[in-house]
Amino acid sequence: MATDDQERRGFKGWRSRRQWAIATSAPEQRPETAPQDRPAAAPEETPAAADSAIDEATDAGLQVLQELLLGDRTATIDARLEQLREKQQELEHHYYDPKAVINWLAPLIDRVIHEKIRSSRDEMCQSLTPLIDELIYQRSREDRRAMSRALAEIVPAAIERCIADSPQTIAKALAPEVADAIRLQIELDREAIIDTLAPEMGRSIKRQIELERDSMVDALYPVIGNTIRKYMREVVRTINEKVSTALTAEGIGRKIRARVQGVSEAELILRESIDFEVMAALLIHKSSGLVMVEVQREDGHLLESEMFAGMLTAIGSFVRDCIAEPDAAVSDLNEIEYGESRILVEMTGYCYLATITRGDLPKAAIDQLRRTLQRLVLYYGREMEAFNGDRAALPPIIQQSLQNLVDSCNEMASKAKKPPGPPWLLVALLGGAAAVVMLSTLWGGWQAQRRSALLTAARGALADRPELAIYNLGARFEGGAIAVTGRVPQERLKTLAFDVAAAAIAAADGDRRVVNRIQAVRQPPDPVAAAAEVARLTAIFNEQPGTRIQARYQINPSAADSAAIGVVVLDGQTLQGKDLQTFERAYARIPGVGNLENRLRVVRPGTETRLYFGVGSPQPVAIDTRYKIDPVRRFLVANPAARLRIIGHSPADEPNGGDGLARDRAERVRAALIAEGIAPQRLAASGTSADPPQVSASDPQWTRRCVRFETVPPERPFP
Amino acid sequence: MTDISQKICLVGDFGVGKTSLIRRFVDRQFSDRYLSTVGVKISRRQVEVAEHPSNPLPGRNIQLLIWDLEGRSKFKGVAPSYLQGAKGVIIVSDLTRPETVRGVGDHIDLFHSVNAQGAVALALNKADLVADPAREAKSLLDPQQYRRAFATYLTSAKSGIHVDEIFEAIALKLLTQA
Repeated sequence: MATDDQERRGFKGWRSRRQWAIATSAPEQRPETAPQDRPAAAPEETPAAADSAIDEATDAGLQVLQELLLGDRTATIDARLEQLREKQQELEHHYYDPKAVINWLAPLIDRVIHEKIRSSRDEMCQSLTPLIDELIYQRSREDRRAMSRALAEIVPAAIERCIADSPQTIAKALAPEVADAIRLQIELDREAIIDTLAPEMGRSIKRQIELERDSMVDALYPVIGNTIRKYMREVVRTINEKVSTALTAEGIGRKIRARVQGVSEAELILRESIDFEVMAALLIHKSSGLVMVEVQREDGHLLESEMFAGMLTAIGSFVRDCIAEPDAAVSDLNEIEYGESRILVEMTGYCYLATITRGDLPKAAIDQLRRTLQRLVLYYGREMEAFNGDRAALPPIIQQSLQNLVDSCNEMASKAKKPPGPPWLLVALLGGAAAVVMLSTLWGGWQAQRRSALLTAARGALADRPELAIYNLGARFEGGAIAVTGRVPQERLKTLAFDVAAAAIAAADGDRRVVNRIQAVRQPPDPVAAAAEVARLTAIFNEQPGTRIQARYQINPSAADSAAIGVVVLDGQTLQGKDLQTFERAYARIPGVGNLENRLRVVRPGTETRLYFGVGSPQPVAIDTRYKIDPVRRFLVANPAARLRIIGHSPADEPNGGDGLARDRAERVRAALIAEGIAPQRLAASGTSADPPQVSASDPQWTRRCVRFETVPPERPFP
Repeated sequence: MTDISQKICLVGDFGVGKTSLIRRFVDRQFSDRYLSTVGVKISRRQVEVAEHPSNPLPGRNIQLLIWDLEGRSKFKGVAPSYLQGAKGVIIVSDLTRPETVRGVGDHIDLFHSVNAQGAVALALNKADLVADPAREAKSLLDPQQYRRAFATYLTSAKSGIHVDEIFEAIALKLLTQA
């Protein structure tokens, strides 16, 4: 038992020693090497076969010695060793579990880094520096927003610092993008950038003028020149208006010539005053007074251009220095005048154009001069500015432009010099005008006299007619025609007055046209006169045979037309339908009659007259023959156009009656009328067994035996 | 052969002989009365420097436009605007009047204030009236001012000594600069 324990202890002790030895002698040993492999991996531990017996004896001895020296403490050490082993295993286990390692190390890392930075800052920097850009890049990709937030706070300060430390660098970095940035901002919010820049514009321009006045003048010259010219054009127009109202003999003459030539008077004035010639034009460098380009007329006296330009420049400087007020920022010499000659000076920033002319240059030429200079400044301003006395360095086109300018001005001058027309043309025009005026005066006088005579004739004729004299009638001229005017109460009088006046005018001037401007005014009718007229007409109509009319004239106070307030009510009878229209028209024509109420009836005479017969007799009863034939005769005499159909009736049940008897009865009456003197063709006889109208079998028998009459209208044939 | 034109000015105190120097040198000139009216007189001279060994632009001559500016007096200075555009200046002083030589520096300052790069030549005039002009010049002229000029000549309008030389020197200088 003891041996077992010893063995066990001894083994354990050996192993513990070995492990300790390994742990202490090789701390850098990689942990992958398993501890149980250690004994096998240690070659020095393997005993030679020959020494094995000695070794075993030595081991046993050592164990005994160990037991003697340490006793119980061995057990304690073993227990400790066991604990350490467990700890080691735990650590190994942790090592392979990253999470556990992280948990274990996490509290330490910041301390480690902190300590490291404190102890060796430079080393730390060196270790981290290669990574920083990558870190920022990676982080930006992972979470751009967070990174932006982190940087946002420091970026402005950083830029500020950068600007303070090294303005050149940041300017260089930003410069290429500034133009694009501004352009983009203009696209995004034009107003904002305008608002930003506008308040500073004035000051910027002012400063620029202070710094480099000449370049500003050059930049603005093409614009300002145009503006001023536009303004001047307005001024000239105003002057022109004033001139055009001036009424003098010379002015009138000029007006006529302007009209004849189809140009404005102002232009004519200008042309008249033009007698000019461009002698030379010099483009002169402003500061040095050196001639840059010159054009001179070859036929004239050649100018010592360089000295002239120098002197002119000196004079310009002299004037500027001595005369111009100090506050006047831009003040230059514009013109030098000596006798007929002028030197026109047109300034720009770096050069000026001196044009030497004889006579006043017209506005058109000055305009052209300015335009040319503007163009030259616009396109070749840089070359002009850089002029160093070498004319050959300037573009040849400047010389050509100036030459063209001088040529064209002189061409203008030669055109203007041509006489506008032979002088007698004006005389002829004025003479013609005078003759026209005289003739027209004479003609006008004669015409006026003749017109007056015509009017007098017409008015006299109107006054001479008694029925027209009371009305206010007259005559007047309307263009070439004479109008007869005034008011009359009737259309008839209107016509009459016109006829009278026209006849009188025709007698004086057969070709004169006459127009009728007389108004016929309806007067309110006289009711008494109207009523009398109605009574008079009624009496006349009642004289016609067979016509019995009663007519009443009434006033209708509610009538809208005061000229037609009368109403005529007609009652009675007449023989013919056509009389009704005749009567209506006659009454309606009476002045004051606005309405007509016609109750007239057409009555055909004889229709009610019947002659009766005894039974079977063709002869009317005696009393009817005596009293009824004569009224029919009188009707026919009174109405010569009237015709009668005589119809006999004999009922079929009458003894010996019927159609034959009926016809006999009609014939007998017809014969009686013919015997009375009535033309046979106005009478037709017929018979029927049928009962007469309004008679039936129930009526007394004698009523059924009769002859009756029907009037037949003249236009209709007998049935 | 093409020419180039250059403006030069002659400045100096009143009565140092600027006008006389120019009269000696130039081809054509305006009347002297302009000097008293406008304060400037302009003259012209074609200078043949084409064949000069130091002419960097052979085949080109120079035409000098010489602005004779009214002499400075105690009442009136030189108008700076007349100096504008001048590539060179000849500052004339009178060896017989030491104050005019001592005033050279002021003239150079004025000229450089208008044309910073302009060439300056000094003409110490009336050399014929002085027994030893070189010594006189040396004693009067501030060496600092002497160094500001590219050339200094002892001239005499009366005898004509060094007159053409000083103008030709400045012409060549301008041609070199141009």
